[in-house]
This record gives sequence, C-alpha cells and structure tokens, in this order.
Amino acid sequence: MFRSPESRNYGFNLLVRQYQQQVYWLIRRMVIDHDDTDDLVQETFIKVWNNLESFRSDARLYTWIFRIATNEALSFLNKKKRKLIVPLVDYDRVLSGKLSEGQGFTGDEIQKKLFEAMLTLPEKQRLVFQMKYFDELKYDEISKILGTSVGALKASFHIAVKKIEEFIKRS
Amino acid sequence: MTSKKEIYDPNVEFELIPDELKKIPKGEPFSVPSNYFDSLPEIIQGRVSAMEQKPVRFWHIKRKIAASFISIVAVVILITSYLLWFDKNGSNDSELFSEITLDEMLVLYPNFFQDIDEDALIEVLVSSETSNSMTESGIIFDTTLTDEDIIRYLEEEDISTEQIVNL
Repeated sequence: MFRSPESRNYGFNLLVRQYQQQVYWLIRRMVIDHDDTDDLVQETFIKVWNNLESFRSDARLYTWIFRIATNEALSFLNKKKRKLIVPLVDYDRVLSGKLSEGQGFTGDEIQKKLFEAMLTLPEKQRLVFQMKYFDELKYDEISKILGTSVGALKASFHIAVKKIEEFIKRS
Repeated sequence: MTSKKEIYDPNVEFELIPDELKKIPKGEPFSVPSNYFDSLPEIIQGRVSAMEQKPVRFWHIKRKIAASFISIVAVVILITSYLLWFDKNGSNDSELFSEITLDEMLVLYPNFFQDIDEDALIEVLVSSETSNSMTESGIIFDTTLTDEDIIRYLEEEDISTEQIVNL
C-alpha cells in the first residue's frame, strides 16, 4: 500500500488511526506530560512517514513504529536530563512531581503508587515493564522493539516487578 | 540473605505478577483532551502535506552549488600548491648544492669522502672533466661524420696527416 505514491497518503492516514493510541500511551507513561507526549507522537509519525520507503516488509509494522516511538521518548528524556541546571536533581523526580501535582492524572491512589514506583526504575526497565504489563506484548516482540535479547528482557521484567512490589509494600 | 527462589534463573518464565500488582486496575490513569485522537491524524497529515509541498528554495540549490564549487576550488588549490612546492623545492636543491663549496660541504659532513665510493667518484670526475673541456673548447662531436667526410675536409683545408700526428 505504501509503495505507490497514490495510495501512500491514504495508507498513512489509516496507519496513524490504527496505532496513534498505542503510541500515545507508550510515550505518555514515559514522559507523563500530555503536551510533551503530543509533540513526541507527532514526531514519531513524521519519522514513520519519512522512512516508509526504508521499512522492510518482512518486519512487523507496529514493532517498527514502537521502536521509533521508544527512541523518541528515550532521547527526549535524555535531553531533559542534560538540560537540568542542577545535575543532582533527577528528571525522574521532576516527573514524579508532575504526577503528585495531578497534571492530567485521573487514576486512584494505588495507580499513582504504581506510577511512582515505575518512575524509580531505569528507563529501559520501565519500558520493558510497561510493554509487558500494560501493552501485554510478547517477549520476542519487545525484543524486536528494544533490540535486547529475550533472556535479558525476562530478567529485566523480573527485577522491575520485584522493585515495584517492594515500593508498593513499603509505602 | 537472598532466599533460593529470589535468585534469577533465565530458564524460568517470570510472567507471574504478584497479587499486589494484580489488584491495580490496568486502565490508563491519564486524561487526554477531548477529541484528541479524532483530530491527531488530521494534524499529522497536515504536517506531512506541508512538508511535501514545501518548495525547494533557491538558496538551497545555491548552497549546494556553492558547496561543490568550493570543494572543486579547494582541490585545485591543493594540487597547484603541491606542484608549485614540489617544483620549487626541486630547483632549490640544485641551486643550493651548486652554491656550496667543498670546504663548506666538509664542515657540514666531515665524513663526506669516506661515504663515497672511490671508483664511482673517479668515474664521475673523468666524465665531467671531459664534458667540461669539450664544451669549453667548443668542439662539437658529430656522430654522423664518416671517414670520407673527414678526408675530404682535410684535403679541402690542405691539412696533411703528418701535421695531425705531430699536434
């Protein structure tokens, strides 16, 4: 569908409609703020459009889109961390603060605790946890998105669950 | 101390979610502006169309041409300067050596003569002496001359062979 220029626009519109919510939530859980998420979702789909010709049809479309989205989210967080004037202040704390302020957060107390616990995890571990827990992706799918071995992902998820469990129990 | 079941074994599937986590509702706990997902595809499509319709500006082409022109000029300058430098250095060497006297050479390189092969030196000196004396006396050797030409010349000039032998 994306190969012919005539159907390219139509196909891309369908693609955005199909994956926008998954991409949005994947990024939103990482960056918390809606406006930041909106920018990153748009950038993700612009990159998808610009690279449609280089997309290998043997790969699955959504793993490719998720890969672009995770890269966008991770590079955004890295940029934010570098921009902090006081390096001692962790950007995850800033995100945690946004969560406490209730910026667009509509969940209950236990959900808040879960997100606070997730923000204590290293970014890649957080991604593995949310892809497994929220998006219910299989390990081999996550492996294709993050470029990490299935074994390492299993270990990462296991550690993440333990940390979150402890955090919730403690609080 | 870490209990036995806490130790990670990659062969064991760790998909079991603890009860504490199972109790947590899985729904997305964030609010999204109303109609956000309805308008997002149009916004993205609009950005893509704007990107596609953006004309190629003249300065883009100009910049590309300028970049290739600058690289060509740079290459030409490099080659020319290399050739000039090489040529200059080559002529400088011969000029420099012609200006150096033997005494100066001996001051600079005390082992100058020891490093030179004696036979080669004699050969060079003999050949240079011969060529010098020939050019100084103005004699030009014409290899196309035959014996008959020489005899004819001697007869014309009225030179006897005895005269030549006694020279």
